[in-house]
Amino acid sequence: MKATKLALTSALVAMALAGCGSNADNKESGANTPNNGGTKETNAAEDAKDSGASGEKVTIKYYNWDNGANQEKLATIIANFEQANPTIDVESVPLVTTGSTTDFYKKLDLMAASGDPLDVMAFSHVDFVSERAARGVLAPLDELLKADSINVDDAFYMTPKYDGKVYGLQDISSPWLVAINKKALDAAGLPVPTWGWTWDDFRDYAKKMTTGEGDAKQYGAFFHTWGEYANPVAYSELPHPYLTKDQTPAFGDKSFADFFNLRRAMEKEDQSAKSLSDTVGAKLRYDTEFLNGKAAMIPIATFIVNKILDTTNFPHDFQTVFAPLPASSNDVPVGTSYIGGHYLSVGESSEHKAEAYAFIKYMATQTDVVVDFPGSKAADKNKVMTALVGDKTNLVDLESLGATAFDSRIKTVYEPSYSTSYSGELKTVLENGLSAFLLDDLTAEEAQKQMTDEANAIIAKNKK
Amino acid sequence: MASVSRDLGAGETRRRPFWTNRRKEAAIGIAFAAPEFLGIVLLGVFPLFFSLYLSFTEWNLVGGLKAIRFVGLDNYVALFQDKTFYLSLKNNLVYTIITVPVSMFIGFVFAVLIHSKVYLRDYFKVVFFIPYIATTVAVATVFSALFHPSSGPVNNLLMSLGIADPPRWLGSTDFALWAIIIVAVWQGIGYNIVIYLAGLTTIPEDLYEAAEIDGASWLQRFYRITLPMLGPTTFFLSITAIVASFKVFDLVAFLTEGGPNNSTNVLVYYIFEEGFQNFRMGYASALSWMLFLIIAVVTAVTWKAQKKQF
Repeated sequence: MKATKLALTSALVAMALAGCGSNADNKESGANTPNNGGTKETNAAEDAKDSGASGEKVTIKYYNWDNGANQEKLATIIANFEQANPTIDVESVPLVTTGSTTDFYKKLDLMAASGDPLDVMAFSHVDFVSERAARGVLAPLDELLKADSINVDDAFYMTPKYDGKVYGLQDISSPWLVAINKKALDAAGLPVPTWGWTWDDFRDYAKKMTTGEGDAKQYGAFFHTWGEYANPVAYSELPHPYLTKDQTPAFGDKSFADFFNLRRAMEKEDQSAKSLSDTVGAKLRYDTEFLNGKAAMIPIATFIVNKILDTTNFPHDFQTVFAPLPASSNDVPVGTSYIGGHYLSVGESSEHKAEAYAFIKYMATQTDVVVDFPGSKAADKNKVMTALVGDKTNLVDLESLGATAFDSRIKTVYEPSYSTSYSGELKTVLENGLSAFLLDDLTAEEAQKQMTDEANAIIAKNKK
Repeated sequence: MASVSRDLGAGETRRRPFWTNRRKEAAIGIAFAAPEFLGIVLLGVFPLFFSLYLSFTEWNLVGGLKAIRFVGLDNYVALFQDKTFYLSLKNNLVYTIITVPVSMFIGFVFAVLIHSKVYLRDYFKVVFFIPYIATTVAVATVFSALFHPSSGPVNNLLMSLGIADPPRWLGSTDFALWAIIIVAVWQGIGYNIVIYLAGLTTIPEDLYEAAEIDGASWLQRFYRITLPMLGPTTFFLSITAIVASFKVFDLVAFLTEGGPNNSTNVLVYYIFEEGFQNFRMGYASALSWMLFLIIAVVTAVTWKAQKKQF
């Protein structure tokens, strides 16, 4: 807010001085104000730098949305880091207490807008990193990585890139998979699915695991409202779920029609999944639906594991087994998946970029404290799983988890460099497209046309 | 000017001190008014013109003031081709056309009922006013539960009345807006009741007595005295309600977030989305000015229509 305030005030002063002059005068004073605001800001930044350099220790701030147990784990990681790097102090700043990333981004963007120096910040998706990189909020890391001779593509499952430059490191990797209620699976007499199963098999499984009526009904599967659930195939098998290489909408792809129709068939014909209108109307959540036993399986990322282990918030007694994300057909190579995750970036406005980089590198490669599945490919899988699950193997089946989340064949065709500053808006287009298809009873072609048109409008708006 | 000419006209030759009483008083007056005036300029006038300027630019907010780029009328041209804008405008008009008269009518009826002889008058006043002062977040949470498509009380009632396939409310593109309208009406009634009650108490009793002596029936008294005397109240309520209905935001934000498929998107929510989620401050400013123009026109029309009537 400081910079804006300064600028507003200086603009006012300029206006007062210029009086109510001609249009040209006004324009000139308007043009001057950003400079005024700018110089003041840089001065302030330099002052801060001086005072920082005069001290022995450098303090960097890490902005995140962690709460509860995660914040405690983070404190241990920071303590370890500070011990190894005595000249750097790290201060964790959780911007929200609810763990809501939506609110986190709002606050973070406001801070960025007001010109506060941002050292290190966390992101929950590659697209969010690209968006901020496009706005000039983040610092490219290529030179620092080069100095450490780290090749990100070899070292991490996924790396946020924009315009050919690296803008963050992945400290947590969340490959998508299907979590299945073991009790329901056994009741239906089905084996744990493995690599190579398709969405048609998924539909079959859901149908067989649907039991009961009314309030006691257990649905075979649950689809949340996120774009990922509108067409997971676009995320796992297309280079980018919304855009093609030449930045045109990807919504014409056949997979959209196929998956939309699968969703409708499962809702209406099989009645093996809660209808979208129920999910939206009742604001259902994937975690409660699955862990309360309302739905026997959900496609989800590995972050579900921590929720499964959290029996205080999600009391349940069944074991969860894991299957890979289904493929659209048998021709899809084994291991093709969609990898979400948690990313750390350095702010362009940071005065201690090298120290910030040292911290995120440490965060992304250490396994002394295991928060979640690491993004580093070098991490020891058994160590991670034991640290994560501990003795709660009655809730999480380690064998299928290891075979799914840590299979060496796992790869993603997702191409982060296709991502743009408006990817988030395109996700809404996809979500709206599915809503229109299921709620307004459009045909898949009509829904695809709606999505393509809307996407083109957004692209045009941003290309100006 | 008048004072100067009069001073000269007095034909005094002695030099008068600069601080005459008149000037002193003026200076004191200005000193008292200055803080408030500055506040208005700083917080009201400046942002107003700044947003007008912004509406001709492209600005992502995050890039700082340096990133402002002048684009002329581009934002307004884009606005007239923007489907979501038209959809939001349509939703907003439906919302206004239903909520304003309905909540005013119900409010009026209840006010008349409460004003006439009922027991527990104050109790009813409070009961109907509570929704108005309740936080929208709480109201939205309660109504989300009430409107639950399969196990909510609303649909259970409808089903027990024999409607086999009741609307899915917030989960339906056709009914989500209606759900919001219902909540808005429920929330707005209390305010209308209180203002109408205040209006009713200002009508002098002797008018009714005189009419009664002249043999006017209850209906005649109602149409000839109560309604016309409440004209200014109705006028005030309709103007404020129309303006407020164009600014509806909180209910939409907490109940549906403009969804599903933009079916409950309204102008202010769309401005919020464009400005603070997609960071297109220029376009959002253009939308805001469009909204201002619409409200100005609607208010002017209402004003004219009402002036004629009363």
